[in-house]
Amino acid sequence: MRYVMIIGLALIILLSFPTIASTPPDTLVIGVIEEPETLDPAIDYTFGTLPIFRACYERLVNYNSHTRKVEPELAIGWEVSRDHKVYTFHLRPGVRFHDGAVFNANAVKTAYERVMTINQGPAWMLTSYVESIEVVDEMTVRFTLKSPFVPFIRMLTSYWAMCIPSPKAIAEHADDLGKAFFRDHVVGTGPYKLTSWVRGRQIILEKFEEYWRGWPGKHVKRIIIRKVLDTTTMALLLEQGELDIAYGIPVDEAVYLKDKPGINVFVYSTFTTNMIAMNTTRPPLNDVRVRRALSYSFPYEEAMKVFAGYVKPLIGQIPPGMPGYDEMLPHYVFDLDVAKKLLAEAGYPNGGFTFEYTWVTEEPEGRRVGVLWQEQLRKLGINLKITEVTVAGHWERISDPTTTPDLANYRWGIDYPDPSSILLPLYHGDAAPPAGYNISRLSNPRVNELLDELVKEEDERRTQLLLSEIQTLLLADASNIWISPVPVAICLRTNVHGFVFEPAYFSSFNVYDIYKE
Amino acid sequence: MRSYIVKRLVFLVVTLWGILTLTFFISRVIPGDPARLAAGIRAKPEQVKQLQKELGLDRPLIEQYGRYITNVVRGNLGKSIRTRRPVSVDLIEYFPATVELTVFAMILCLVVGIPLGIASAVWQGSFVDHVSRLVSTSAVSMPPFWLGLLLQLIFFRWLKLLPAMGRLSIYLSPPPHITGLYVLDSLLTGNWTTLGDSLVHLVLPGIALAAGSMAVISRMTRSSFLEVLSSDYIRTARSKGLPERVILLRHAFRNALLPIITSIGLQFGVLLAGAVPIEVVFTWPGIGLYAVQSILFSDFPAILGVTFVVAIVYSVLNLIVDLLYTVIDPRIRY
Repeated sequence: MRYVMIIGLALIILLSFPTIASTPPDTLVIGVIEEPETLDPAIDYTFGTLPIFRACYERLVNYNSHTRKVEPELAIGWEVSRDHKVYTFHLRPGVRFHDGAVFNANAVKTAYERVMTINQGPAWMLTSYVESIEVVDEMTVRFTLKSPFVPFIRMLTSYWAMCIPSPKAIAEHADDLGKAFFRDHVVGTGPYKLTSWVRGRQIILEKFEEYWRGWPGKHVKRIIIRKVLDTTTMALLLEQGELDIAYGIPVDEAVYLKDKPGINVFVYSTFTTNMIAMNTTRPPLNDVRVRRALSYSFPYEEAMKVFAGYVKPLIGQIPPGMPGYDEMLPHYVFDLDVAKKLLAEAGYPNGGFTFEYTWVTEEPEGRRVGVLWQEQLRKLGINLKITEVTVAGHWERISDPTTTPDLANYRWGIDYPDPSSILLPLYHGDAAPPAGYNISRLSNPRVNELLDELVKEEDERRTQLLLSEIQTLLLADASNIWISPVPVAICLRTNVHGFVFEPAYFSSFNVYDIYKE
Repeated sequence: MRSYIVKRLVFLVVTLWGILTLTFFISRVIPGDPARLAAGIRAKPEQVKQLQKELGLDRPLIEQYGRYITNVVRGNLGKSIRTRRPVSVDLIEYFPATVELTVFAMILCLVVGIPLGIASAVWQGSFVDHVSRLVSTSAVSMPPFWLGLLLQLIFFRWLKLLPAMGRLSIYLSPPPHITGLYVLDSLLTGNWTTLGDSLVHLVLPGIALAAGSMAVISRMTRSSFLEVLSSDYIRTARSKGLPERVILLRHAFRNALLPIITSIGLQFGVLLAGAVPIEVVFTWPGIGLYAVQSILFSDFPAILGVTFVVAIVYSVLNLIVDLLYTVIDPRIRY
């Protein structure tokens, strides 16, 4: 009896602690799956850091996905030389960093030169194009490029490499270029500043009182970015009100949250696309007829089930919503008869080959897409051997044509919101891995020529024509099977307002505008 | 005794060297160049080379191995390629979470498993025995991650009694770092709020992790007790008219303990390994989580660091178990 009483008492004490509570009204709790590895904008190149970068750092310019225009952020205006080689930015006065340092032209130069010196991850965006950065006066900075590059202004809207950290903090940790300091610290000009990061648990951001936009209207004081590893647990936490926003729940799981009271589920199409690259360096995939046959054998509509029907098959290489998307392009549809005919023309009326198809562990749709396709290919006498690879394994294999699988499922997320961020690294002849991501290793001289022209073209109408021609040629070459844009589900409690989705940097949140009511 | 311990410690060093060597070479077979991953998807070959040089990956494998072993002897486990911090710093951050969870699970195993085993041995064939068998069989056959999800559903979602993830509520700051074990650090610093909160957070992952081992220990206790209870000296004790409680606790228990201790030692290893899926389900920032992420990134130094620490813990625990034999059974001498 005595033991029962002790155990009972212990249980009462244990359970009397307030374990489950809804989040306070001035605090926004965001659940994420992916945790940053480093917070250094010169090194980090992952989607996991974007919520922090967007809240704490700023860039010269911002891309507005809804107006599709580049708008001022830390720059208030800019001029571009006629040859698109010299970009001059006039900077916003009265901006301060979290450590009190003043934002000026020197801050921009210091930040970007640091990225170029460290020369890792996203640095290629600057090192490939920028010849020099010059301080014209206190509030004017000038970039001179190596060659004309029209998308440069959109490239500057990237969160990777383009966030501007405090020059004071950089100078104080100059011995290792600030690598150790910026790995765990954030010193930007953004609306929130980092107050703590417990790895594997959470990141806490607090309102930066001296933020240059000021704090009129409704905002939250504190943001907690909470790591949740398991998506089922994440859904449970959101349901119970322990999270305000859940990011990372797969679309097909998020559907089940739709009818729950107090939860809004939004599914958005992003600028990240899912594709299958065909290794064109060896037979039979070096024959365009075989590649076209495979393109016709892919069950496009059925594959959309993998994303719970929230997206449509891709038409061309550019996802909907991005400049250059063209619904009128001729494209492949599922038609086994045409596929059979093409195979016969190529001399394989009964198929008779086995292809290795790889999918990347972190991109699980690849497996399901592969299984659906396997069934159709069997009808053509083609056997699909499905192999799982880790990201590291995938990169190693594609960096050499002899180890590149016949068919590799992969995702491509853009670096900046411009078609060149898809077309140059994926389809230019010079972009074969490891230099780029042209996994199929197909080089069409005409496509290369048009791509070189594209980055120099500023006229919108002519750009559109160029894009249509490039995409038509790529479709005819059939180096890839273009499946669909990758959708994401953002689940919010109904008391969260002001959220606007950003398809280019979809793992980031416009936290400054979000409030709870 | 002392010479035995010394001998075992020498063996321990040899075992650790063997494990490190094996893991070193196996981890290099995993496809993927970590420098390429760390440099980024668009990195130019010269950038990758620069990073390979920084990480020492451009050297011949045997030289890398020699350098690694020398560093380990000096207490330097290298730098993680993924987190870009010394592996030892990462381990100090992640390992206590696993220790706390494993120890808590082990306490649950002992507190529930042994009495349950004794009860079903004493009342063999009774209702208690059948229920205990049913519970044990179910616990052994249920995958821990599934049990974890089930517990979250019942106690977090339906009953709203216990938290579903993490080591501490997000609005509480961790106690000052002394051992890294939140329960112990809270106790040492007299922080009762974090003590209660961290205990509450341990309940569900602890049960999910402990269930399988608890069943094994309870079955082991039962069979060991049955064997002891049918021996002559127990009959003698009974015929002397000793009370049943004394017979069980003073005569039977100690004699039945040896196989139970062995099984407890082994179950510690099982719990350490089983913590990986539990850590994922409950977002428990432990070494298992760290290991999984490191493997996906081909982060050699981190993989080796985790293996090294787990191997040390496992070997030391085995040594302790072996030494415990002599305490329990004076007939055993080394």
